[in-house]
Amino acid sequence: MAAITRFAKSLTAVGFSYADESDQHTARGLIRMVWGVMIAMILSLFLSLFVLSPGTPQNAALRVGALYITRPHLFHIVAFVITTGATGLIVQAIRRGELRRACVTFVILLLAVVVLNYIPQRYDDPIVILFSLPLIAAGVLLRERDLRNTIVAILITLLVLLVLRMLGLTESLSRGSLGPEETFAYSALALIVSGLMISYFSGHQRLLLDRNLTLTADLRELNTALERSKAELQVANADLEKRVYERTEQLLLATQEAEKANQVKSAFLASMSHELRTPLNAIINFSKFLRNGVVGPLQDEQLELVVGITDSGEHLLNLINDVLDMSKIESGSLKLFVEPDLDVRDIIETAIRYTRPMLAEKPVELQQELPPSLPLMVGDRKRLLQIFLNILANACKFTDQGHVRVKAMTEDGQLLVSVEDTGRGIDPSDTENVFLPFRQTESGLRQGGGTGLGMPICRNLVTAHEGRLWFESQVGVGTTFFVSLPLQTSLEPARSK
Amino acid sequence: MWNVLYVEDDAASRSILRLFQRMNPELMKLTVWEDSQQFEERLLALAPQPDLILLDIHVKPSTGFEMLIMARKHSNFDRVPVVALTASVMNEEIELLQKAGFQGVIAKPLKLEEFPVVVEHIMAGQKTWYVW
Repeated sequence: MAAITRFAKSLTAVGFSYADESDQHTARGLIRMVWGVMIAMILSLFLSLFVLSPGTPQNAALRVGALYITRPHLFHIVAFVITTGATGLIVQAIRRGELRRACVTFVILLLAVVVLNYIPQRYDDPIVILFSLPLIAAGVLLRERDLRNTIVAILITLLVLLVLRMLGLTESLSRGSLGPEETFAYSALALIVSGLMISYFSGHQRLLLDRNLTLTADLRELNTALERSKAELQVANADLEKRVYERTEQLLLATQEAEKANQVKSAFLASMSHELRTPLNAIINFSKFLRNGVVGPLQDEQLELVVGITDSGEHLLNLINDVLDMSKIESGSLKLFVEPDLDVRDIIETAIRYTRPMLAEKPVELQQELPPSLPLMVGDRKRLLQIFLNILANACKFTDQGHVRVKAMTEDGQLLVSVEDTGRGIDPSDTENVFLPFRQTESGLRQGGGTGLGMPICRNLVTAHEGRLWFESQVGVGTTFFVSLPLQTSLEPARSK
Repeated sequence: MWNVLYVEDDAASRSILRLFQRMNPELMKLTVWEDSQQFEERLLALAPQPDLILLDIHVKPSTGFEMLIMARKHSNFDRVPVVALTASVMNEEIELLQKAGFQGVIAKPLKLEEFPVVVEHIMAGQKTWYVW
């Protein structure tokens, strides 16, 4: 029956949870503790009445009540103090949701009750209370893993014990010969000291907890902020991805449209070229037949007119070719039809053959200084011919007497072709007009018949062959154009068949 | 002396080549067709067999490309040089001709001074892609 009563009282420890939960030590903690004790008393009374001693409620109630009021037994107080502290911790742990910790503390509490219950003779010794103090403190502090304060609490208790021993009090305290008043006084003292200790340490722990909680709250806030910014980032990211996607779509559409427009343009140019070349075939060749007397001799005046037709036809053809070339160059769609093993000598000779008639009526000698063999080249046969033809035609056009000399040589892995004339020369102020589209030199404008496209196209064609085109000139002395073409290029033959 | 077959629907172009042949009778004998009706049958029936075939590209009902395929189907024509004589001489168009298997192109307007040299090159087995 006594054991049951003690156990019931241990349950009064629920009340102590208030003290344990109190914010600070000192007076406020004490007041709370007193309140806790009162509540615990009432609770344990009810518990012993209705739960633990259902058979003899009045008897049990009377006994428990009498214990508290008339004879506060030391052992009861020890049990009270330990169980109160431990139960407070359990309640606290449950509140925090630390169920495992609550269970462990509860097991410790039970063990403490059992141990105290089996101290047969000395249970009312004040010394037991004093020993129980470090147990409580250590329990509280160990739970908080506050090793330093645990050791401090134990040392303080040991110090107190040492002092008591030095004063010779331990003997008399453990003799069990104290009267009720003394026992009460010691018990009250022990109760207050242990309460203060619990309060202090749990207050200390509370401080730690507060700091911890503050930190946790800060962390949680930070975490929330982080989560929020993460979400915002994700939204921004998604938005960005969407925009990139949209842009890409737009770009694709624009590219497709541009490609389509380009195809339309190419088709238009091809068709225009075809449609213009077909009648020019008749104009140029019929007029030539007339000129050559294929269908009968012409009078001088007739001949002059017919020659005019041929020349205009050929001029128109050149114009069409030049405009088409320039349009391709400007749209970046000029493609070389690259062939391997080109005989440059043959190409240069073809160009000379084509231009020779231009000098038929002028005292100008067309000379060629070509080595017997020139290396084979990779390139666009038609475009290379166009380059040499253009330069030669210019030389013939602007030279009224003297010579036009074509030279070719290989040096430093380059084929160097030069076309030297004894023409009127290019004025330094005209230098830049030579290679600008739709611009002509003074003498070019005076002479007439040019488009201002030949040289710009030539330079582009030479560049496309990875070569260089330039000139040196002296007014009144003559001009020399140079074409240098690398023998080794990155040009790939289109199809070798 | 070469036997040349020329298929051309443009009257002016036909006249030019006929006049050229009249001026250079020692160079070639010329057969001119105005369209490509039953090209295959007529080609097989042609005697003597042509040494060179000149094809305009925009001919009806069969285009130059189709005529080339028809000619190449027959073993006795698979080595006869077939050259396009056309005003469609933009780079892309020439690439098409090359891919189709023409041995060359002679551009319109014709440069008749060059014509004998070009024919000589072609008959020597060279590919000619001159465009002026």
